[in-house]
Amino acid sequence: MKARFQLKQSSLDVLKVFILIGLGLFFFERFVTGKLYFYIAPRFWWLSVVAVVLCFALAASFNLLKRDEKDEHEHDHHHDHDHDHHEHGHDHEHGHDHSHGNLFSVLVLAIPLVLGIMVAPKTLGANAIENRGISTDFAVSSDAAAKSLTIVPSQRNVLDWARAIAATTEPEQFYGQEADVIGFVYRDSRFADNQFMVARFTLTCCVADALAVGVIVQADNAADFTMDSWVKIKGTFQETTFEDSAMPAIYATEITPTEQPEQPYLYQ
Amino acid sequence: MEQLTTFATIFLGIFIEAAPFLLLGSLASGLVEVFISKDDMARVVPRNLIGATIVGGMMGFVFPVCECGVVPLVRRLFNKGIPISMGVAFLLAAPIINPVALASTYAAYGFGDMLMLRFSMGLLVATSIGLLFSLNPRPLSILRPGSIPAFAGASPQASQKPHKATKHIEKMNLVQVKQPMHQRLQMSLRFASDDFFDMGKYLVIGSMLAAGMQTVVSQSTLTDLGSGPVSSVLTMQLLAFVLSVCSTVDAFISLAFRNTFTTGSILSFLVFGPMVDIKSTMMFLNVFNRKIVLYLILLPFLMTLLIGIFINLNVGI
Repeated sequence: MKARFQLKQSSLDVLKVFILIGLGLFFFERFVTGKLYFYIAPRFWWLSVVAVVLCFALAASFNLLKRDEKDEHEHDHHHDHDHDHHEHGHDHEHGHDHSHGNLFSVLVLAIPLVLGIMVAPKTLGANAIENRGISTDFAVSSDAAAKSLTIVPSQRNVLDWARAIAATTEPEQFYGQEADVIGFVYRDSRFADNQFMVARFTLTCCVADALAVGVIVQADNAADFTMDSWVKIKGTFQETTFEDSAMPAIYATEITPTEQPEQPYLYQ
Repeated sequence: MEQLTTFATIFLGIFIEAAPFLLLGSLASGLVEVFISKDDMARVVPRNLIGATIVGGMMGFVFPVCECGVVPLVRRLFNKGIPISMGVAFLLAAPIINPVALASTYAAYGFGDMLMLRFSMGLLVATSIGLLFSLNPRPLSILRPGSIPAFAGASPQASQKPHKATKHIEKMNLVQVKQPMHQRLQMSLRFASDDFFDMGKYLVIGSMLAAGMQTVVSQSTLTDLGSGPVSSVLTMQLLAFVLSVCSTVDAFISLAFRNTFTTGSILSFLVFGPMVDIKSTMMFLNVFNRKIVLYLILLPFLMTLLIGIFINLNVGI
């Protein structure tokens, strides 16, 4: 019985090493391909470097230790007769392994790996807005809004516009300014037939805090564009009515369907 | 299918951001295990209870870990014989009172009331709860049996099966003294990987729960609740629990709620969230008894609720 337990422990160790290497490769792959930023904001790129290095270092500690244990034979261990016994003793040192160092708990760590491989990385879309809501006037620090306003109007993205509009008490200042933005189409029951919202998800740190922001678009052919499709919009800001109040909107002169950008999120 | 994709994306988002912090915490914990002896610790820990608890609350400056990393570390520190009050204060305070979290709060709110309140209230709540725990006549009984091997020699509770474990600890201490540097580093890494697997499964399950909640429960149902002095605080606490974002970045997230929510509720979010959320609760379960985990959730919850309501009613919104 003892022998079987030892065998199981050592094969569990092998599994742990595989999972650690797998996680390291997973972080590495997401980092190198840039898919990492589907999940977290770019300023946290170094986190994945930390993860890759530590995953591999932890994986290495298993093998290296085993080799060294052989060296220790002569001076440290008093009761070891074979290699397997070594490992048993070793696991006692890490005492907490007894109760829950089982197969199930090790396999749980493989779940992110499996989901990461099975489910193709996809960014949040209009479908996720149903749960998360969309914000036309979200709180912005005045610094962020001021920074957005330093950008030439035609260069501003959806987040810049949303910030600028949310922070101002005088939306008139935007009327007549040219807009040229990319985003996905979002609409719900609040929108008139000739309106939709050109929206983007913004991340602060990771997708768990993703917030959709958008700007209202006014166009006669608005209904032609399906929810969640990506569009490039050119037009001019004018006043429109949304939910019975005056709001700045882009009066579109040109709406072109487009591909999802490589970086679909905007980062706060 | 759409829902599964959304779920997987949010889950991986939380995991990818939190796992590196857990790895760092595990590394710190492995290094503590191998390089700091009980005697070292005894020399550093103040004799008097209140002093020790306050030191525990400030120890985040020495070990800058967030709520994922602090759990394995605090387990090892208990192992090194720090008092329960100090450990609990460290567990609850470290995610807030550490250089990284304070820097991000400063970046989000500037040098002002919010930063000072977050720091002082975090310390107050953590040390009070630490002291409360020290009132327990059998302080060591709060730890989950078997979760901390080295307690075998130190506590009456664990003395039922101390023999083997103690022997191994002795052997290990012997090993510590004898082994050259590179081997001790390997030992640290090996301990770190044990901690990573031990805590990692709770991180995975907690992240899945949080992602599941976010996929199913509408965030707007939450935010619709909140401008009343009491309901806003409750809402932000619930949000902090459900979102389970890392304490090093939650200040930025709270910014999004600053205009719609009361000041007291934002403060509660910033103090309660780092102490308790879905994923840290799962990790607590690995270290403490169930009843204690309940206290570790309820006490910070009630205290930050009261603080939030007090600020709303007396300082203004």
